[in-house]
Amino acid sequence: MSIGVAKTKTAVEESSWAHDHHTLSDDAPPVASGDQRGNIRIVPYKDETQIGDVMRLITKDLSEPYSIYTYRYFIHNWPQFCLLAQDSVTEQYVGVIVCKMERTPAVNKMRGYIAMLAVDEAYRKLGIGTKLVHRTIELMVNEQCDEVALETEVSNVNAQRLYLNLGFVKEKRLFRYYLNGVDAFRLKLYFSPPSHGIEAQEWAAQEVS
Amino acid sequence: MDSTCEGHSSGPDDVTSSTTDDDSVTEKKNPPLAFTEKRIDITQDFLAAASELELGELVMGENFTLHEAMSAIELMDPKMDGGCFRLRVHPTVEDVVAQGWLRGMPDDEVLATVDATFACLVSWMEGAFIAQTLHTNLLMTDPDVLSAACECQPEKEEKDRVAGRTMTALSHGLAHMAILVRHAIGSASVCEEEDFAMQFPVRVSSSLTFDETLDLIKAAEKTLITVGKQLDIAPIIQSNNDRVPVLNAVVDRLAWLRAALEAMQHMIIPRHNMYSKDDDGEPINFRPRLRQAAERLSTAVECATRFHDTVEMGKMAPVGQDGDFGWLTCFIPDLNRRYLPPAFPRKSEFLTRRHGLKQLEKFTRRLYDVATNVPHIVHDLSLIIQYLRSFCELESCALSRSVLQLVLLPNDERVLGETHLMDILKDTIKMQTGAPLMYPGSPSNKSEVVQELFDEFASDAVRVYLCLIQAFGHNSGRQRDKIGIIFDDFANLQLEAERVDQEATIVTGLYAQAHGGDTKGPPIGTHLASFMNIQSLRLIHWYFELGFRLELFAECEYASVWWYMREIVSKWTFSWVDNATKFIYAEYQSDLMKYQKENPKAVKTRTSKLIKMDEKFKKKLANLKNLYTQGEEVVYTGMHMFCVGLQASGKMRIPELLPGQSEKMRYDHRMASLQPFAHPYYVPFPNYKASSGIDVMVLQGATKCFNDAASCFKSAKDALSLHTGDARCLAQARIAGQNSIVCKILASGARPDAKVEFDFSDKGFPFAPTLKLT
Repeated sequence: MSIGVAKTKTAVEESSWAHDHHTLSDDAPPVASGDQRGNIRIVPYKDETQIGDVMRLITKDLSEPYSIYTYRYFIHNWPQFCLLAQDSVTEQYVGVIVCKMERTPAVNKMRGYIAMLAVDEAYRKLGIGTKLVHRTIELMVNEQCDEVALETEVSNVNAQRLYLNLGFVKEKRLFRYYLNGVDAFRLKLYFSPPSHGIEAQEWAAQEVS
Repeated sequence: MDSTCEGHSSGPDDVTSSTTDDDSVTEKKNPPLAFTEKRIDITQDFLAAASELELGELVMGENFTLHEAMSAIELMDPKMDGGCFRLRVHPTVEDVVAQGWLRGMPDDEVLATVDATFACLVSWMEGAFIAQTLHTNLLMTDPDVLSAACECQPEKEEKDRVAGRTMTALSHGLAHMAILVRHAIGSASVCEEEDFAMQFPVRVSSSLTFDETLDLIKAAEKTLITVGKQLDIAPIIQSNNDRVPVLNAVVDRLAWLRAALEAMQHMIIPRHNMYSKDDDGEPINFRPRLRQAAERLSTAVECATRFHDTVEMGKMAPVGQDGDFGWLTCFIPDLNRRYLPPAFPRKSEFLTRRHGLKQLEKFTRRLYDVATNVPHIVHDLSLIIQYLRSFCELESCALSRSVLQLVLLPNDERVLGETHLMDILKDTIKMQTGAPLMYPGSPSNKSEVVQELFDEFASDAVRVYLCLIQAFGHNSGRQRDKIGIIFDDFANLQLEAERVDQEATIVTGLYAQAHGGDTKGPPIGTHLASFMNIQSLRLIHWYFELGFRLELFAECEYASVWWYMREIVSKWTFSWVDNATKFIYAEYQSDLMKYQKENPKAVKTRTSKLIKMDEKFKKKLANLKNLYTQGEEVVYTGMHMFCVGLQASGKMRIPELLPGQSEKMRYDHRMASLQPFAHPYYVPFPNYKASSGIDVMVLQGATKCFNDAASCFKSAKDALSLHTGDARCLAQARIAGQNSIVCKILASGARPDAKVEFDFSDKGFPFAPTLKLT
């Protein structure tokens, strides 16, 4: 038995624009046996030779692609938080996660941020997305991360399910966050307690910026 | 590679534009590119230098970071670069009039154009860019030029002037509407860029005054009615008969526009009022004219109601999809591309005519609601807050929320421009809990110390309530964030209220000691504290309600949220309302005794004053009763038990990435904004675990939890069914009854594989989802 929240699909949710950066379908394993896909291993980002694969995996589902500088901003600055999923038989890259982690001056917290997550359509429902996120979070926690954040479209229930299953909470709803006018949820996973007034400081800092 | 790049020309009519604060736009033709320097081909040098770089090595200037580079677009990438398609030369307004577009426009296209323009107006009001919506109708871009061009046309008969008159009136009317809308939203200051696009990249103006514009629209309506009558009298051909209803539908649209403009003028502080001062140097006070606004809005609602049935009379889209309205003569979707930033989405999501007109009708009804209901709530702060809450539930848009803000507080701290919020606050306290310190002649009323403390409390409260009222103007997501911040102020007000009560109690006690127990008024108690606690709890209640409405809570949080709603919000609200009821009763007794003492004969004859006292007392009790719904807390208990049952049965997983810590972290952060309240409204995680007994309940097993939940829902159903006159309670009772059955089925183990759904689709009950087994 599983539990779900009944939702009515609205016109907005059916928007043809896709800007969400967490592209995966239901990530819950397992799949039917007998398929030809090999074992999946998670490998760290090595060098620029992989950036084409990273872009291929992420761009596939986006109608508005990022420039290469967006990938370079994350991967060049935080290569340790870019992981790839590789099919050990075909050696193909079939999933990727791109993140960053930095101290937020307003609240003095070390905040990890999951910028992009994608799994090749043929390799979905194998739990690869969950593995990528889980492994990245472990790396972040090892570097004294206080919290991990991300945004995802309100209609992207697959991404939400993945993150909520890992213990993320929907901290707030961001009205018309994406250029297509669709709302987003900001999800967070916490590793340190709140300090009093921290939301106020953060909010004030956001207002200023 | 040649350094003399051709440049990134957008076409032959490439222009530069800059939008200024006064809405004007300066345009000039780019001077031709002139390269006087000697040009050198650096391709080989560049490739040679690049070959020396290691794989992944980046060369960057000191003043250039990769963060900044993220905003870069790849030139000539069709998905990223808006300028990579050559701009077409579009016709001007004069061109289209001269070419007879309007003269030959059939009535059904006139109607479709008006409807499409209204749909674009709504798209703009809901956050899209005006250049991509309203101003893709070429005729709306320059009302004055359109007027002048139409005046020069040779049509002699009225019937040929239908399109010209309609479009001219629409153009001037919507220019005034756009200016009013932007002024209202800008003045209310409750919107951010995601709610509304304030920029006018092209000038929006009309040389006609507001009244002249209204006359122009009225004249256009008359023309259409006259043409309709002529057609009706002399139906030479059958098609004439078909034209009349179409013309009437256009008249409805114009009448709506005129009524809506007039109504908004009555409700919104004029721009010149905001900066003008009277002879004494005081700002000129504006008072919304709500009676007149309601009259005009009544007409507007009547017109808007007919939109739905007449939209089909307009020209139909070729493939059945309204799309960007490019299939209508006057619409040029690409018209303003030059004014958009290169990376801006070139396609905007357009509302269909049907959807846009429906939204317009809803918007009109919301304004009508403001004009008719606000006068009845402004005497009581609690009612004002309640109204603001209910307004949010009406799917209010940025404009209607802004208008509500401007109606409530048009100039300063005076509600409706008349009564100071301080006076309303004091009246509300008297109404809700009574306040002996405001009782003339009472010891605390005479005490300077008490009055000083009270004045300090009241002025702080006014400041906080002004912030709160403004917070309600924001979209619900940001509203929740702001309320979370305002909790800090409410917690401080509670402390201040307690201090005033304590001082008043001491002063009254001393007076009573010296005067043989006489307190010169109703007995003193925690009046102000009761008032503030009720106010805080109502706000906390709304904060959690917003959490459900925004779908913020994960299933693993449900148990703690519903426990909090029952154990803290419901129980404490009941307790403080009970306190307030006692104070009101004591005040009534005191007044009655005083009156009997002064008028011994009046008791038997039931004077009008006595009758008024009774009515006032009953009204106060009824108001308090509205703050608390018996039965609701049992629903919360049932939901809590149900969720614990799901946990006990392993059907609801609690994610524990860091064993023993994750749940606490989630709880602590979720409840962090309540920290300023401290005990009892802020409950630390260990206290929650201990008080709720959740771990013990899980150990007792799912069956017991589901059975207990079923009993709770049954009790809730019985309690809520008693509110026979309240449709909301009766609907909640029905949900509770259904949930009770679901719990019993799960407790029986009859459907172990059934899937459980929390159905929140009934927006009227965000706290009480219907439980479903599928």
